[in-house]
Amino acid sequence: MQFQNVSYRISSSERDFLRMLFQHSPLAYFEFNRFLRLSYINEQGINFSGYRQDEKIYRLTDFVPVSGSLRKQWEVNSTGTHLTEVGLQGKNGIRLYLNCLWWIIDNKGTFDGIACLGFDSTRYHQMMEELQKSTSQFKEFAQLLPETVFEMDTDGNFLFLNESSFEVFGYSKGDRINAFDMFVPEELPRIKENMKRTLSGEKIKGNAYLAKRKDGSTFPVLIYSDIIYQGGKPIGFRGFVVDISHIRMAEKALLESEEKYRSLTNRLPVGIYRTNREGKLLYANPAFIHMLGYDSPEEAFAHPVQDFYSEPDEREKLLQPLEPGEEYYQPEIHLKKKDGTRIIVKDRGKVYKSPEGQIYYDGIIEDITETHLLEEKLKQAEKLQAIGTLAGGIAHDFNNLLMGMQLYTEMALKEAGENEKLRKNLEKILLAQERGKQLLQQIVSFTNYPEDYPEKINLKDTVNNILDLIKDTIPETIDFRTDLNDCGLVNMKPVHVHQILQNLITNAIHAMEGKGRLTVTIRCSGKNGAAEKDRQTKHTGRYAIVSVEDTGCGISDKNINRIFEPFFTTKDVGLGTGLGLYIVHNLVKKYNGEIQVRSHPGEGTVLQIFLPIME
Amino acid sequence: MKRILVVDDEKLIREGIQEALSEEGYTVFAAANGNEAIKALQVFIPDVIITDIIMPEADGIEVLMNAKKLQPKPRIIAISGGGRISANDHLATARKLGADYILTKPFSIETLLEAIESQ
Repeated sequence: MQFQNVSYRISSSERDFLRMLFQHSPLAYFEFNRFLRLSYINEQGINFSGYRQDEKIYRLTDFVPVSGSLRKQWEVNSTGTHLTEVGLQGKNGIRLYLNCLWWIIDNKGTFDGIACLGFDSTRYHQMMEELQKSTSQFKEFAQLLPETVFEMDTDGNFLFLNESSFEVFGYSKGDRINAFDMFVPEELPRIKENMKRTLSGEKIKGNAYLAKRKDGSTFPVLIYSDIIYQGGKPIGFRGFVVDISHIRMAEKALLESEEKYRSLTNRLPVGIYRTNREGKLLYANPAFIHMLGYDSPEEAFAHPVQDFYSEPDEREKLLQPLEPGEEYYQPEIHLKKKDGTRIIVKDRGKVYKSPEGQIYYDGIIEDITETHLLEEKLKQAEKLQAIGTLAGGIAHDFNNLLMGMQLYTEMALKEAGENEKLRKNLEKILLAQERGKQLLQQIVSFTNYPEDYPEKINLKDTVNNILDLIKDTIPETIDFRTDLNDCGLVNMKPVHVHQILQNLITNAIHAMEGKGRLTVTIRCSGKNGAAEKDRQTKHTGRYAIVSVEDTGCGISDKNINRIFEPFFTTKDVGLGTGLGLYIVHNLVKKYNGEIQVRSHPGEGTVLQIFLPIME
Repeated sequence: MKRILVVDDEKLIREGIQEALSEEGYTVFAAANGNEAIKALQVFIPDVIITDIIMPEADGIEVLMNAKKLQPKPRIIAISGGGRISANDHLATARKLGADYILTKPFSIETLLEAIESQ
């Protein structure tokens, strides 16, 4: 929200804030739309004029005398440096006067109306009329008034000053006062100029000045005056001086609270918004705009709020049951950025109802996408770790059992002698035992063997060699393509690269059931944030990305979070151990890499392995 | 023929190894845990000690440390089915502490015989 002190412009969305601020203000607040019809009026405005908000027939031109282009005139003349008095016809037919501060409402550079904050000056006009009727009556009357009432000649010498004047300006009864001493020196040229123009018959609009008390302190005033004629000649002025500190203070407080509010909301890392029932965004801070990926507030304001939801009817579902005054909290809402990216936010707010019956939702959203992903990853990692520990524990006992099996079978084999049938059966036991041993070795293969010394290898060459070996196992009906870039060295055991590729390619072939396209690529990434954790190592901060992409059956949403779990398989019993991706995952982690999976059921799957590139 | 001490808390394996090696003509003694083995070593010094690593009471590492002080030095073969968390780190420790040979369970009788006879 911004006020430019010079032009006093507000944007149409900022207008809502003004409405809120002045809703119950003792000052009258009006807004006129771009057709200059009344579009909003606050409580005091209704009291003052008798008009209600819905009386659209009420036009600004009914009470403001304008000539030429109204918009131009306001922009040039009514720049908020002074108050402007307007006369208007009240609902009950009485002539009313209002002294206003004006704002131009600006909608993306287009004139969208005028707002006025003012106070009732009708009383002073009535008094002026009385005063013209009877001079003697006037003086008695004037003494009673709490405001300054004066008569003076054209040189500023007072012919009359009421009691209150001395009090207001801090003078004593005996003091000799000249009118020009009662204003700050900077105002004198304008005062004298306006006096001249008034005498020449002109109506003066800018009648607000900065007055000065005897002690030098200053305060803003408005002067209502008329010419005193004697024998048909003008000899001076009579009128009222009205202290308008209160309206200036309201204006200042508004600017200050605006400034505080703006700088606070602009800096907050959370998105702040106001929307209405229909889904129009009425206010949003920069963080909100940024969170949803829009380049400017205008761009975001042009969209209905429903556009920001992943599921367009989600908003309706969440907000429909809420009554005005109720608070709401949604710990997890899925939103959609301008480019379609999904984000997860926390949404907290309150429902308001304006006196006109409009429903508003004021709230705060906080982007928790990152936290959410980390939590998911952590959960997954913890699960795998727990299973790993379990597997390690089982491995020890299981190996002992296998050991027993092997020992006794071997001894029995010796005893079997020439009994071929017995020998064959015993050899089958040994074969089964050998398979059990291999399976177990796979389960624990990810754990850190101290004797496992990784070597610096050229990834492209290694992958090339491995693919040469694997190529023969790929059915000819599958279109096999490679695109391998040389990203440099990685710190790995070649056997592990083999294990990773073998597993990924086997899965891809299975997923394609004999036909499709299998692509293996190596791409090199630039430096990125993911490398932060490896700052201590000699890692360059860059990654080689090995992708294995197939056009197979894909992985369903239900299964995608489980593919790295050990013993999780979608293959038929006996066809898969459910250990392939588990081993790949653990190997990649062991080398401080990352593994990512993208899959569309029915279209295919891409598995990407990020391996740190070494110096 | 060589005198061998087999230390393993797993009865199945302890007795299996004892039987297999006896058949090969070795004189085989058996201990069910580290404590028993250390006591046995105070009475006689075998030519070869085959010891499991993870055992209740005193473990294989303690057996190994005690055996290293003996004179003449027995050959030491450390065997293990893997640790609770990672597979072979205990064997690597045993190797560092002076085990002459390490074997990961399960292994064949032939492998064991090679380990006993290798110099």
